[in-house]
Amino acid sequence: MLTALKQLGSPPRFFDVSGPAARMLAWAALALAVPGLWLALVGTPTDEQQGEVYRVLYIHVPTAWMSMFLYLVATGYAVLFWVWRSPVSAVMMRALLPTGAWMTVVALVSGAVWGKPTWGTYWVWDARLTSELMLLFIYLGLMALANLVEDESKTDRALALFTVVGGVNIPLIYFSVVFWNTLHQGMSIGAPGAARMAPEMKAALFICTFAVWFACAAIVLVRGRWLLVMREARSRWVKELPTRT
Amino acid sequence: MTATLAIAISYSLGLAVLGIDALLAQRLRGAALARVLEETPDP
Repeated sequence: MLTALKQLGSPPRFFDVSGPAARMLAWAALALAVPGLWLALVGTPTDEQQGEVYRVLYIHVPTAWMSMFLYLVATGYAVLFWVWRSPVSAVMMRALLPTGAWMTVVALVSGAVWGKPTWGTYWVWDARLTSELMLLFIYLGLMALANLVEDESKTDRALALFTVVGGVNIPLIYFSVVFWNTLHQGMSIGAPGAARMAPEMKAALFICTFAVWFACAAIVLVRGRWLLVMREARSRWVKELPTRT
Repeated sequence: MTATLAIAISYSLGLAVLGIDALLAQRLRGAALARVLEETPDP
């Protein structure tokens, strides 16, 4: 496992693996998105209490999970960067930020439009909503830092440090519904005493989640791949690219 | 805000965001190859 991870830390190896992996993930995302969308919009029954508006959750929950998960992965790459100083870790840390920020925006907007007919308001300064908004600001701040100077490698160490520091917000978001009394509902899946979901609704939610997960992974790999080429433009393996692609 | 509008906004935003993000990521290919050409000395 460690050897495989170290091999993937080699820029030419990462370049060779990431292209086919991104293509495979994109096809998997598409294959899941079609049944996922059908189930989310038509195939699952109407919720007894919320009515049709509950269908927003099939996009809200996967994007909200993804906003936190992508940040956790970025934190992992930040730590790897501190350990190995590998350019792959540095570019992957950067590649994850825009996709994570986009997912946070979708989670916040879809939550707001779901909140209006359900709670009677688009927004409340509840712990879950506020910590998710903070996550968006953290993403935007890190993206600004990442693009502060033209020579990106000069901001790598600061970016890694601040990414790890910002990671404190992730458990705060996840457990906010446990720590504080929030308007946002508690955990629906995985927690003891969680609200029960109908099996077909749960299946649809997982299909949509994997579709979003695969799509994000494909996008991040494509971005990381080309950021790596930009960074390593002077390296021999990049000059040999025509023979690789 | 009706349920239909909430659903329409959420799904169109989600799909649009994934599409735009994918296009932006793919556009880096051109920028990266241009950088490689810049760094390649003239023969």
